[in-house]
Amino acid sequence: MILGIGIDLCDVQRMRRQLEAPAAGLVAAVFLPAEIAYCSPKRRPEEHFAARFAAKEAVVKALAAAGGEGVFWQEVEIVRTPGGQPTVVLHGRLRALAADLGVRRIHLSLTHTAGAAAAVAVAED
Amino acid sequence: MTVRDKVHAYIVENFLFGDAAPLADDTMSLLDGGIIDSVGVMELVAFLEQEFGVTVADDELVPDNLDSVANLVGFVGRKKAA
Repeated sequence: MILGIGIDLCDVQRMRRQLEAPAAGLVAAVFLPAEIAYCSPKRRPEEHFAARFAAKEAVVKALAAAGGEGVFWQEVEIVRTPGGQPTVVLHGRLRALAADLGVRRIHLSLTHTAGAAAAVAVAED
Repeated sequence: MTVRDKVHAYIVENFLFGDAAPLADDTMSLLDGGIIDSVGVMELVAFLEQEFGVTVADDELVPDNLDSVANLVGFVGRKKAA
């Protein structure tokens, strides 16, 4: 049974400006080391970072955890299956919340162009 | 400029296209008021780090620190005093 759905859109050029900003620590505050290692070598890393940012927000929405609790960027990790499909690993508070909600699987779909990146997440029991 | 004036000016310039009218007062919620989105939170954190030389930890990314001009000013003050 579907327990929640979330969608998010991220402007790629806004992400690019953040990647180029002098506050180098910010990327590490939002993305996990494996995500940075995956996105950074890409020809247009801003698209991949933007897609992962959208995915993090979509997952939080699918878990109905978006309101009033702050942000959970470091608690949603976007990884890839051996077949190359993006999928989700939860950490910390969100992992506990998902367990409380009975969420056993989160389906994720990403897309990106030079201008925008989008993600849809579906939480299932 | 004071911390408050710098924070206010950044928000007006970057999220309100220079029109301060929607930012009714310093306690107004930036998220609930539709002034910033989730990417805007990230941009705001980058601004704080660059402008005031503070480092924002993951567990500090909460509305009590970031969701209004007043909260931002208080947060910067606490970080600089620490």
